Amino acid sequence: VAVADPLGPERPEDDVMSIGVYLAVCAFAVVFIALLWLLTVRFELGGTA
Amino acid sequence: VSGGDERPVTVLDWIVFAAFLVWVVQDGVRRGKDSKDLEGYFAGNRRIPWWAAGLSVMATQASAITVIGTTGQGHETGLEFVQFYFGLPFALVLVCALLVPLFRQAPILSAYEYLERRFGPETRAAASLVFLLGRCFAFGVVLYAPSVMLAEMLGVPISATILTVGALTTIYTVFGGVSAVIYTDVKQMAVILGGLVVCFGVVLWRLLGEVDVVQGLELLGAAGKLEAVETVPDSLDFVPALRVEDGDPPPPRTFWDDKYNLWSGLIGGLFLQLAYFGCDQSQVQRILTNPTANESRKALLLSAIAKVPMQAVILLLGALIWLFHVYDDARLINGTAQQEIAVRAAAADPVFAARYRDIEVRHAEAVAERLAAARAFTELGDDAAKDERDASLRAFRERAAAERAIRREVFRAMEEAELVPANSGDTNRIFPQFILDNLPPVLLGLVIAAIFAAAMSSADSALNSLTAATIVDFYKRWLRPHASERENLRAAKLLSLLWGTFATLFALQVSGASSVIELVNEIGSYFYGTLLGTFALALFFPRVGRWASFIGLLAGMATVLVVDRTLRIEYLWYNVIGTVAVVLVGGLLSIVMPRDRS
Repeated sequence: VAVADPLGPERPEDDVMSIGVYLAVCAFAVVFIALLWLLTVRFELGGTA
Repeated sequence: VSGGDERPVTVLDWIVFAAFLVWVVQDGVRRGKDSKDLEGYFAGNRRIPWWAAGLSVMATQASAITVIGTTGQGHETGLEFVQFYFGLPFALVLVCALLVPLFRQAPILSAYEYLERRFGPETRAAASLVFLLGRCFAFGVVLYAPSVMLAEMLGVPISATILTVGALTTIYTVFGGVSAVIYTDVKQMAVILGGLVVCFGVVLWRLLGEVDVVQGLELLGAAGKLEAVETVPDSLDFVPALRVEDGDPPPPRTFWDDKYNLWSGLIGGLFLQLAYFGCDQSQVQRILTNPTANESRKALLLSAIAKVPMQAVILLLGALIWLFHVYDDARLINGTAQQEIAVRAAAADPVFAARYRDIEVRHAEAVAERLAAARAFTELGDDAAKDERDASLRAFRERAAAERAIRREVFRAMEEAELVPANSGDTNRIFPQFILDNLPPVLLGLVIAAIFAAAMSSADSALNSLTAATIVDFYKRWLRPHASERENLRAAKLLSLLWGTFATLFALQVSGASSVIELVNEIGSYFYGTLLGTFALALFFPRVGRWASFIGLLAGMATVLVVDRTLRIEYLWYNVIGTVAVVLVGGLLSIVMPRDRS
């Protein structure tokens, strides 16, 4: 969202973070949660040996 | 009956610990030269780099209760608690995209200033008051809870540790303002991480002599310590049960009773973290200190990436300490104070002494049987058939459960003898006991400094944000709107001193009342959903005006209060309920009392 930021750079469009960065952070979180899920099922008793 | 061991805190540890305190306070006070007006005192003249603000965001959230309590929780229930943080990365992305630009549209110093621009002075004052009330209770607890553990570890009275943390934090925060808070947080975060790495190294080094990594994980998994993601909740009954009186049989479990699972973490956690990072002045103030919006976003995204892995590692450390106790030094009671209570009671009361001795003997047997079961599994080797390995792990799980049941029994016996309050345990004493028993001099001093650092890094942010909200939203807004910057700064420093003194005195009064911590958590969850709902109205409902937002805010708090009194719903969901209630009431009211755009 480009808004006038009286404290930021003169051109507000320079102060916008790319949506790719947000997607990368979300993807990292999803992958980490998936790894924790794999850890859960791999080591639960009777899980995949 | 055996009691607590001799305290191993040496002169070297005291030197390391004292050097850390001097370093932090001296640097914090030095930062005061940057604070010539409220912009400097509350926003660091908007010159704080993203990495410093980012580490401060993490340090503020990582209180000493996190370091001590989370490792204890990892020891007792494994990785389950990590689910509480699953909503955090997504919440921070939303805060970066939606709220950061909002807070930077004008050079505001309090998150609630924005609400006045959007709605009016009533909503701003009510939201700021809601924040002050919740944060001021939490501040007292942030000082009290770790002080109990630190006092036990150092062998000094609780009042001494409360006064040390309270006074030192107040001194550097009063003089240095938010710059002192942020740069001391950076040092404190470094010490916290250093302390955790040391503990991790020690426990791994000791454990790898007994088991290899996969065997260790298999033993932890068998004991239920690696259940990090619960995809299927305990119950799929979505109709919440009514609360029952104490003593009445509990109603059947529902979906809303299950405290931590993937869904409560992702949905309830998302709302909680959105409210914490987006509407709580102690975190919003970090967004206001950076030179550009993108610097603020980078500061927040640091937490979005690092927080869940960090919590998982801290919980894993607790679980590894449990495994370490399987092989070495399993105590019936952790924590010198509780050990001494049991020893004194046993000396005075023969009936309790007999019961305690019986439990002690059975605990020693259970520990030996658990160790034998663990060794039986590791001796099987990788070539054994899966059925044989599973049977061995099942035997280990039974022995582990038996040992845990006996440890619970000792607290039941102490509760029945009225030696400790109801629902006591030693979860928060496991980590302190472990470091006292196992860390060499200097490293022990470093880890004690890390616990102090965690306490101070949360307390200083609470103190500065309480002062900011009081000065900006009340003093400057209502009492002295035309005061000079010099006068405002003097008032801010005086108020900071008063808040620090008040919280320290409050923490001294808390002593002994363990249920206060639960009360504070409950109060916190009443407020957060309401605050988030009010900001959601501002962002997404352009028709909502002055009175619809104000009544919506009050309705949100009332709804959470009624739900808490009548239904059995775990507290993470209160954040969702509060938000939805504010949005529904505010949104519907806007139809009959639309925004006055004139």
